[in-house]
Amino acid sequence: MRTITYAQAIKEALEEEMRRDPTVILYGEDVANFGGIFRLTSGLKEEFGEDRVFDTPISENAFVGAGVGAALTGLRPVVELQFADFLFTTGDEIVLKAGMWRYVHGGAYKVPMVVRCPSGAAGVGPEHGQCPEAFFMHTPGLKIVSPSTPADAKGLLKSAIRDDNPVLYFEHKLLYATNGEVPEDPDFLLPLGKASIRREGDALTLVAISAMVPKALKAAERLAKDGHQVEVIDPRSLNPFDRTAIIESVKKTGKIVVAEESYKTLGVGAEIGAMLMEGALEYIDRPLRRVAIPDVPIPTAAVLEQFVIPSEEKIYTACRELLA
Amino acid sequence: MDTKLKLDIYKKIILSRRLEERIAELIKAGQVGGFMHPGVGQEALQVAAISCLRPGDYLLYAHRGVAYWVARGIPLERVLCDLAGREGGTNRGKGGVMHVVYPEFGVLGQSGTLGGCFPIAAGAGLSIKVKHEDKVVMCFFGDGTSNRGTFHESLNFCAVKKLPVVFICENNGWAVSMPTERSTAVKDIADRRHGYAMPGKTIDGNDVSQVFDAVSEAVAHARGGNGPSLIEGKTYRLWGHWIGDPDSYRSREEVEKHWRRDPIPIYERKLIDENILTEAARTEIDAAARAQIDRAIAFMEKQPLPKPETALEGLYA
Amino acid sequence: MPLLIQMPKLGHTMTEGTVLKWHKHAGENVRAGEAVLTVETDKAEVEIESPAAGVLARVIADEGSVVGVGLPLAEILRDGEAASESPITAKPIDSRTPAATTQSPAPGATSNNRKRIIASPRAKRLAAESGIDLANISGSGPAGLVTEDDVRRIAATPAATGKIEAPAASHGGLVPARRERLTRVQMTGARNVTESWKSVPQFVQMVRVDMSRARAARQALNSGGGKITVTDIVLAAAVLALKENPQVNSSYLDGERLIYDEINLGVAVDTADGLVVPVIHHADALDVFALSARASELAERARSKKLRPADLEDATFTISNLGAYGVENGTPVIFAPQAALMFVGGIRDEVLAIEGRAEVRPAMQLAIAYDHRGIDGATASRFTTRVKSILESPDFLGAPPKVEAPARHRDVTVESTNDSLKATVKYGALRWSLSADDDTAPDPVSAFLGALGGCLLMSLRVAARARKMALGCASVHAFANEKGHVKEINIELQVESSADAGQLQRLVEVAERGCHIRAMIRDDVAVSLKVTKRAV
Repeated sequence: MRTITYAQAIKEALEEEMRRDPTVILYGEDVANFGGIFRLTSGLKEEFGEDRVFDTPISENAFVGAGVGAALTGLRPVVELQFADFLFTTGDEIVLKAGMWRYVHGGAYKVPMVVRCPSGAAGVGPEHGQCPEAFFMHTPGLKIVSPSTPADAKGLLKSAIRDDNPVLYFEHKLLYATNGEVPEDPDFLLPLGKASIRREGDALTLVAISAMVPKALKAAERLAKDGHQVEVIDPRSLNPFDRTAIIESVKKTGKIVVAEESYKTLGVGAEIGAMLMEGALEYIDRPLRRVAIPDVPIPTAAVLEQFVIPSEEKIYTACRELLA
Repeated sequence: MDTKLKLDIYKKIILSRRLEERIAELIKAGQVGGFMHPGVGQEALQVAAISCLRPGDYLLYAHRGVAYWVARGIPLERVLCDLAGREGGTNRGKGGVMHVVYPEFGVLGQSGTLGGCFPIAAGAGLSIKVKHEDKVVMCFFGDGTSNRGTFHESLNFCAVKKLPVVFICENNGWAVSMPTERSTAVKDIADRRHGYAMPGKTIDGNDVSQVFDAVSEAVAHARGGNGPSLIEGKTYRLWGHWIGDPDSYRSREEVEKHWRRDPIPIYERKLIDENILTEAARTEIDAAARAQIDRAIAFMEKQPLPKPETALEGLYA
Repeated sequence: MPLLIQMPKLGHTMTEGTVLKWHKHAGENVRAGEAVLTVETDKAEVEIESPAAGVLARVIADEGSVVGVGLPLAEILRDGEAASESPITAKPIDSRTPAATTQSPAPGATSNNRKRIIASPRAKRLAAESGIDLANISGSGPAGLVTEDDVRRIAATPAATGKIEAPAASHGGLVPARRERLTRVQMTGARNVTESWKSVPQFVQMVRVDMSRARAARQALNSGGGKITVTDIVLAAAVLALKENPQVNSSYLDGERLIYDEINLGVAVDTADGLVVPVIHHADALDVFALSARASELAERARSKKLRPADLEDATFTISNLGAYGVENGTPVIFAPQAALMFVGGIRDEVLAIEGRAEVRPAMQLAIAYDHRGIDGATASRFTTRVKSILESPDFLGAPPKVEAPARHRDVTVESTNDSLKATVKYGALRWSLSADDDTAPDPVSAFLGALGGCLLMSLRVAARARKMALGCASVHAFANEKGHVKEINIELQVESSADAGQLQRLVEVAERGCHIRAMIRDDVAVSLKVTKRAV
């Protein structure tokens, strides 16, 4: 199997799906002529033409809402936001239109659109670096995926494009350059809603999201040297959410740490805590620990950003405190 | 406009008015749980504009009344069941009349938030363009809604990409209690077309032939691949904002003045002058409309309520 | 909150233990896992380790006191903790009076029974499943939370109540010159034999065995360098006879013969404390060499007091060899609930009638006691005579191990041909290299770690085969301190197994004991062995 980057994997997924299905179109700011500010989409306009790959004005409300309109009327648009934070700019179009159009109209239409959202703190400040999955997990109707490896990036994007529902696809900026083995099969798909057990263990369950996964794995290696085999779970999909995988793991280990690059209050960890209390209370041996951003915006200066973003060290420490 | 079309428009206008009157009775009598934003007084604009559409075209209606649906041919039974929140409607109790939908006739539905229609209209236009279809999108909205940011972004987007969308502003002078001259910097909303380099017109929205002419032109322009237009039909909201609105923010004189310009008697006189309509025909059309509505209400009253568990259905495809 | 060391439950039937010796004293620092005291149970002496690092703040049970399972023995203060304020009013049971034992620890054992128990839900569930009263468990979790580990430390298999009868009142007017208290082990033995004598109708069959062929077989077997004893051959013969007569490998209970598939041979060993009977589990799966190895290992551990309670449990048949003392014959008492016990006398030259001629042969007498309720005379006779016939024609033992290639000898040559830090090892036709200069070959210490790991894995497989446990993949990660003399070796063993954690732990313990390389590591080298079980 060949090794490619996460960014290349995304591009391959787009190319393959656009070749396979002429109703798939791709647009956003700077995606066509420039190939995207993260350079993921260069060459696509040349291959598929300007009708299907084009640049938009700075009009998130219009072009995200247009994604909904196009999806209602027979296209499968992939809308690229330049930063995941702009989901808030276009909140109505995402939450109330994309997420709810099908339901409020009694199921008469479906909304097969994908919104690609580059996420993650990367030194570009509080409004260009969030990982806002939890906000959209809370509202009904939006599927959400956050792949952490190139293979997952490809398999999940292809599945998201083929899904008949709106999917928010969070691609972490710091993962773009990471490498991994990715199958070449053009029908390589990964199902939404299935977590990946990245590392097996029985001492503690460590759930990590997106760019937290590599940090969690490094922390797990250190913990292994300390004599603790920690189970690392990468949910990959926040809606649908593989609750079963997490519950089964906690039944084994009794201990849970959640690492997420989002604000602590009402983050994904809060949902995990609630569902464990609902579904696995008698298996819990220690309190939940969440490693998350301490409820402040992400500051720009490197030293401040590093302080608030969960690190491998913080994940390791949180696990050790439960394993003492 | 040929005679048949003119008469057809008239019949739909009458059916719309009679239906709204009956719906108001039902709501006031507490016989249906739903609510309605009446479009009484704006039927001419809505019906005449929609009569320019072909069956495959897309429609995004506004919340002003039933005429859009009547004009497009949606069975009255469906609308009434949606109003009553029963099975047999178009959205199975999920959206009320706020979200009447009819894919067979391209009726895409409505955004609950005002101004949500503009991007969706642009998207439907985009779809037509990518698939090279011979279709247009018609998007209705009120004067107040045209102040939303989505109006600006979407019209710009449609103009730049030459999308086949006809934007029709029903300027009835009021947004709930806010008169247009206090909320809107321009007097004629169609003037905003200049900000987007697109064609458009301000017309008398209560004059069927003016509406028909202006809208046909815009539809042809769009169908020809030349892009969007912005039409403004001046009209008036004869009833309150919603059934039950005390309407205390408008003066009785103003409202009565506009009743004297109710489009229905004006159009009737015109048709009679043109020998297209007789008094007898008028009475017959009116009676037929009432009978049709009675039948539809009877149907609605027999429909069951949706099972409560269906609240959990229909979210994902 | 300070942590209590409590009397653990170390065997099926244990209800209390005696504090024999404190190795640490109040005020001393203790490490997690360090032996703090030795307690004596019904069957053996066991070391108790500290569950955490800290200071031994208070010794609660003095040497000699008898403490019920679960009751506190000592208090450990960890970093930042203050000593408990209320005195722990655990009253140890009077060492003089054997007490009527009960299932749960005595009330009033901790200062405050009405206190709300803060235990994790998992701990509560485990405690409920194990029948343990949470109120008396000291919690090691945050803010004194009782955790799963705390419950596991006290975890019980269902206990049986045992009642010790009061000693006999007096012996008339005689006054003894001195009194010698029986050791706990001896007490248990006394109790058992009394029980057996009183409730089991027993009979003994005797037979005289011509051991000349067995002796010859022994010599042949040892020609490859083995150290099989005659007793080992007797063990092997007993195992074969039991396989052929399963009714003897049984227990009688309420009108039923409970017949066991596995043959767990108890082999009585005399120690300074009295007669101890360690058990060779699954002797049915061992050949005579394995039996021999196991028997001598157990005997050694019995004498050096390193037996674990598990080593003393579940025998299905016992052999008592007092022949070493010169005793010719005896009338043994069975070890209830086993159905039989075989006494083996000494070998001495006797004149036997062999095919009508008088010949001097090495003769050995066997006396086998049987539980008459389940075993009748005919069954017993078949077994008794079979043991004799096996010993008199010991072809069952099989050929001695072939000396295959020089590879089987523990004999290597190592050469260093130039001034580099490299060497070549020659072993028969095999060659391998060592290097301390570069990465072309492992350095000697790493090669040793490889041997250690390999030996452990092989020992694990052998032990698993003997216990008919299936294992999947197994791997060892062994690492020592980087420079200088090897002061510590950490071994991480990962095994795919569907056995439960307790079974696997026992298997690994057996494997570790059986690993020759491990046995060569000096005691002052700290060796840690961590086992991870993976699902198959």
